[in-house]
Amino acid sequence: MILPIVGVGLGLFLFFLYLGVPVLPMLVIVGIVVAVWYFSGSNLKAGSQWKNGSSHDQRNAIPNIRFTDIGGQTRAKKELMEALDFLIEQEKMNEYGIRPLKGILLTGPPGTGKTLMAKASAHYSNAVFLTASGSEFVEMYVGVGANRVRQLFERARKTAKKQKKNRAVIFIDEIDVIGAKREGSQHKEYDQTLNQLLTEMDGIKKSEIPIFVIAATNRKDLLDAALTRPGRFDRHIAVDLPDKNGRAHILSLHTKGKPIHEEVDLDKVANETFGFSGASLESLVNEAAIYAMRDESVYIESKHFSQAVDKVLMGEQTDRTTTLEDKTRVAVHELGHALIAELLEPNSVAQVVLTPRGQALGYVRHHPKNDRYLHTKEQLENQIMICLAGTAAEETWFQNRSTGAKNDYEQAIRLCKTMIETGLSSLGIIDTTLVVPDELSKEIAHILDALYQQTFCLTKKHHSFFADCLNILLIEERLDGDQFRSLLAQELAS
Amino acid sequence: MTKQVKTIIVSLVVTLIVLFGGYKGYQYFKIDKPIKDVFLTQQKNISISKIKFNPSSVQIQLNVKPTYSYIDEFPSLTKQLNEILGEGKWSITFTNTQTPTIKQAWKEIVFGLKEGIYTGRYTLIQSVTKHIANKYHLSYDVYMDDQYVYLMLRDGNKSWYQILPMKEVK
Repeated sequence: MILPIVGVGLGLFLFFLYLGVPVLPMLVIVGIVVAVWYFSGSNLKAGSQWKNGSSHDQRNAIPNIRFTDIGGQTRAKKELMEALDFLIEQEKMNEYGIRPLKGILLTGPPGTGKTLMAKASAHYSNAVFLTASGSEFVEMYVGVGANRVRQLFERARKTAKKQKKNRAVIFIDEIDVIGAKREGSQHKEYDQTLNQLLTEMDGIKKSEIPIFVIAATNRKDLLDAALTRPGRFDRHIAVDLPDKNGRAHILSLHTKGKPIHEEVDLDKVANETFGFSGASLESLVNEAAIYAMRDESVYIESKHFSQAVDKVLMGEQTDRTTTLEDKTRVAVHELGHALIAELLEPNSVAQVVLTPRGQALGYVRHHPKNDRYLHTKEQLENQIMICLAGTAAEETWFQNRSTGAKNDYEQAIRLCKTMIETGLSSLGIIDTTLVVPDELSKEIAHILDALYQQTFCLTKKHHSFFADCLNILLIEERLDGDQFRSLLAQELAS
Repeated sequence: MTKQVKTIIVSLVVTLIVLFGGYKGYQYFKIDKPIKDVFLTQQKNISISKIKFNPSSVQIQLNVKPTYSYIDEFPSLTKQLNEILGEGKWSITFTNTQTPTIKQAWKEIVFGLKEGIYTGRYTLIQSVTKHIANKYHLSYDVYMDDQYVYLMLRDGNKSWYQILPMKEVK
């Protein structure tokens, strides 16, 4: 609408110039009018035409991301590519009488690359590609959301027709905003928006241009059943946290073009980063590069990755000063964790650190050997003992406890609950909702008490070991896994 | 070329066609043609050299043959021009060449003539013209109506014409 006005204005300007009319005052007036119009925002009336820019064919605007650029997620990528192949090879699909897929729901924890996959889909399928975010449909005015859904689908069809394409892809990010379960009469507006989306995806009205909807959410549990049924979102693709190989692939992608030292073993870094999402890994590489820059090092070295892992896991190193007494207590506490971890799971300690980072005053970093998804009772008990080891060490050395173990207890209790829920406690296989909280509490206390006694015995047995390590840790503020193990080997030998 | 640039160019071209088309059309139908129609009756003696138009006034350049009885016939044409273009909205200049004598004579006449118009002493116009014309042995003719003073100076077979508005001087 604004473009023809620009042309007409220019024409008028040239005409007045020809007539010899003074144009400068006119230009000033026009400038003032344009400025007032622009800043008053009068061009954005509620419920009016949705801003065109927000959902234009955005294939060209999207960075050039391909499926090969996405690390890990092999299964999710394969499924998504297959669904898109249906769009591309429609003739073949017709031969088999396959009904075209209506939509794909990408679910998974934040930062796992759902949006990235949608971007890659845009390149992969040579279709009209529109994107919208769930929150774009929400406005304080009733009916606007539904109208916007209509407009989005209408625009997809029109653009496809205009570009002479027989398919269109719409990507809706964070669909849980509009696709939440319809319950009660609280959110009529959200219901209308959702109803419109349902109708557009699979309603009575049929269109000659099939529209394929890709939606992403990290709250699949919130979505309305009508939205997740086959015929709407036919396939639900879980984009989970990457496994070790996935992490290694992601790291290799993010380290491309960065001066990585040849000694850096990305597989080892991948091994140490269990539970990291794609976004965390990207952040990790970035942080490592920042550390290398701070050190004015030519290459990003292993130590920078190690610092970056700590940074991403625990937060930035703080310059909080502590008294020697507190520092000693923290050192003993962390040595306790490390001692028990090493005794129960040899070669698991990567580092014992005494520098405050994030909320922690010190910490022990373990390296998981393999990605573990299942745990035995013994493994869980070992984990609980490692959690309780800090307190046990404090009690061994100082004959008292401190408040520093709050997080350890929370973690231990969580593990106890897992044991009870999975039938690994003395209660047997039970439905936790039917058990009296008191009984649960007693069982947790029982497990914790028994394991604490075991832990305390171990720390007491190795009392002298604390004396050996404490001075080194207090001075150096850091004990490497190998260093720690050699000290422990001496202790065990004696 | 992007769609946006195309839209701007098309709207610019359409605007220019409409504006300049309208302007030239108005000039032709409302200015040029009526003026030519006025002088059509006198086309044997008067030819239009140029018509210059701008939104506030029209300037007409004429070439008049020596045989034309300027004083008798021209006042009726100015009345017609007033009706078409409006009073004071037009001016006429003559492209007839001045001989050196006429040029010198006009330099002297112009003082008395303008003084006569300005002060309302219209007999001064007549007396000054007569005096200077006789001084340079020129034949002359002078006439005034309620709006203009018409002057003709003749040196041999060359004539020179002048028309001066009374209101403009005042």
